[in-house]
Amino acid sequence: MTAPPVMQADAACGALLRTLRDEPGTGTVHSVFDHAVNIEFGKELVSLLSAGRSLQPFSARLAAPVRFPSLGWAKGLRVRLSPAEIAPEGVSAVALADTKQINLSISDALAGKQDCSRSFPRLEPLIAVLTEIGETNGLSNLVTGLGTNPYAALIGPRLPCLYAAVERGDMAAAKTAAARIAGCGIGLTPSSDDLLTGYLSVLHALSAVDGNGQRSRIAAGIACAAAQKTNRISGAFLLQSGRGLVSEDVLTLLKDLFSNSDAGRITAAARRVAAFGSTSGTDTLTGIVLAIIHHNGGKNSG
Amino acid sequence: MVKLEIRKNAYFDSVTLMLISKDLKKIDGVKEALVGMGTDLNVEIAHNIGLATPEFDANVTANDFFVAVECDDEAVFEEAQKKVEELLNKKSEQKEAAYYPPTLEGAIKIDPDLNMAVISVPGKFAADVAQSCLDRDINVMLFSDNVTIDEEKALKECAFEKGLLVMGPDCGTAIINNVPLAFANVVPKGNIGMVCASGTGTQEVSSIIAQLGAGVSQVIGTGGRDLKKEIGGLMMKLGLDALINDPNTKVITLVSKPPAKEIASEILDIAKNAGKPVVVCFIGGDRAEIEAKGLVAAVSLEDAAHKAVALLRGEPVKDFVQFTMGEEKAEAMAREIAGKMAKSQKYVRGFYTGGTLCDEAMKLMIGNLGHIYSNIPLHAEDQLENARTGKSREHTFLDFGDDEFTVGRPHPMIDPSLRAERVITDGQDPETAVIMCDCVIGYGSHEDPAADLSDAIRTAKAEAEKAGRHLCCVCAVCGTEGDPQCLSRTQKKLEDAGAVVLPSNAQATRFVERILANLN
Repeated sequence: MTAPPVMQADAACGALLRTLRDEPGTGTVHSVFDHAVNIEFGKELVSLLSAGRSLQPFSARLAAPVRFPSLGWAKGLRVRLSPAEIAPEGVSAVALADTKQINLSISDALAGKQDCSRSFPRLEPLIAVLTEIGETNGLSNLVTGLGTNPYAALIGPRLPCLYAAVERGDMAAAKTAAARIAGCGIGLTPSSDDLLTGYLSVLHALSAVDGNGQRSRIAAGIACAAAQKTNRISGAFLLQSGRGLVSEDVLTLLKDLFSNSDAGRITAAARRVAAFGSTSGTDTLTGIVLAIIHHNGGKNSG
Repeated sequence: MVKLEIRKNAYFDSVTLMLISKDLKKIDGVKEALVGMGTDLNVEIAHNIGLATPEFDANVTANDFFVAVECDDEAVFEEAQKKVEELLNKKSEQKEAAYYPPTLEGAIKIDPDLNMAVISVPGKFAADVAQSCLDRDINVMLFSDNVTIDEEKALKECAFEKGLLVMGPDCGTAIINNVPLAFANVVPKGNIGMVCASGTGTQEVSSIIAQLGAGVSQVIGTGGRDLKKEIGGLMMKLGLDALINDPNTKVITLVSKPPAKEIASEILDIAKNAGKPVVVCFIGGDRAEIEAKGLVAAVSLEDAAHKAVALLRGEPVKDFVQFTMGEEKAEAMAREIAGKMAKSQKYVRGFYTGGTLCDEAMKLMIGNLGHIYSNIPLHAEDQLENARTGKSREHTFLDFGDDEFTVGRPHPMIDPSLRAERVITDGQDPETAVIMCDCVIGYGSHEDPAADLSDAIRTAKAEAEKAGRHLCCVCAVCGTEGDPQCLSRTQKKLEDAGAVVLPSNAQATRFVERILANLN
């Protein structure tokens, strides 16, 4: 019997490759979607993505577009993971050896970025993108005011406790507040989790630019508390965001927001973030906007 | 009664969950429905909206997918369960229906004779994938957009050298060897060949050809930028050449917005020497220039189809500018409708899912209306700012397929809900006299685009009636009887909602002009 052909990954998250170099091992397929697969690997959830998707933390992206179920990927399949390859039993292995390593760490990308002579990040392009999309099923109406739904009605009043706790640096209160927010919404990653992902990314970004690690630490705490209140996949994204790891698209947006980019670039980056999933993108963008409004050190963000 | 279905440790993507949530609420007898993962907060929401049961609290966890429904009886819940199953299975059927080779190499291994690839990947990867196909002598239909004009030029120059097609980028419609690709209609096999730089323009012409009882040999798309100076009309030239040499093509039809002048001249010169009749529809272009080359100029998309069929049948070729229902009847209807309108009602609002159809309607009307405000205006000064979130202004035409409307959502031919909302909003404007809409059916389009539109028309007309106004809605359906949605069924659905349905976009446009001319 010949071994199935090997597929090439074109990019992989730097944190994933480091982990695989330190501790190669075996995992189990947790869930399979058309264009993504999640693998339980120790405490991590490692994702494989089809070509064209924005690279996520702890993921590798294939060079070609694929539909994973058609390739034989199935829940429960055992998978060997090493820095050279991700090899499921009886299914095409994914070669990692020559893949491009992408660092998705906010702190590495933004350390010392902000030009203090200007009052930014600029919020108008983000709000304009949310308004033009006009999504009413998730939580973006907390920013746009367009439409209403039971999820926003529940979450909206709970957010001020989180803002206040973060501003005070009160870890315990922030965790309690986050636990009362996580896991709310229709999607696979419920809307409030996506909102928190965006929110936590800004806390990390602010820590990176002002060199004060307090907000990063509190972000990690919030992520742990929130992850316990949601499903495994969404929880994994939250934990990665709590560590300061975000998708390529979110990282690009944060870089543009914190490095004096023009409104056109920010709008384009915000649109890419917003286009993700059903409401996940707009909810993430909402979290980013809310965090900037409430935690930008009192700076005028206009 | 409240009923619950739980699937343990089941994960479905967010788009599927959203579709299930929306579709369940449309079932008769379903009062409320909630779909999601069983997190504490989603359970709390279920309690808040009266959808929680003791079973819910006891059994559902954050890693479980649940469907909670408040419905009239068990039968309705069974129907809801069937709907959930259908939507989930639809996805798995799609997955299992065919083997999808993960790479181009894999596809060639399965069939080494492959000579056509349809490429639909994010724009930044599209040029590379297309180039790989050309390197292997495979023709390309490039559905992807966001390919730069430099990339397009390089691809087309390479393809032209090799005698291969690159249809696109942003090419939505083609029919090759009777196989409809992407957004296309069920058109019989026949002897009219088309080369087109327009999506819904192509659909309109080919559908009317089918309605007239004729058929097509090949429909070759080029992508909207092909006739720009930078690209030089390379694919229009190559496509034209292919049809000239195709023994099954007896009449050729070219469809495009007016090309760059020098490109138009080159194309017309090739067409002049085709040795076959050629109909040219450069929507809003210079008729005299076309006729000076001995070619047949069309005054509308509909006219192009009529002329191509007439040429095929050896019948006299005349401009088709009349109404299928007859001049007198159309005038009488228009006068009667205008007579019912309030004095405040002055303007037409055209809401289109097809960009070329929108452009054609504006070009046919601009002479009489003076200004038409739009997100794709004919004149820069008529640009409508904030078309998506702002208000219409005087005579307004919107292309809902333009970028501003498609950020974060599917093209309106797939999801026409945003257009339906706008029909209702503009129907409330006391100055709106007529709302004009296209309805594009066929492969790729929404499974029933008339459903949302007819609901919106009904609502808009009823609200206007309550406010003492008579709102007229004029529609044209682009498609054929053989399309999955069926032309006559779609037309009837719109007529039942109170719309006036004309057989083509051009006739709908002329009818609206008659109404406006009859307003006091």
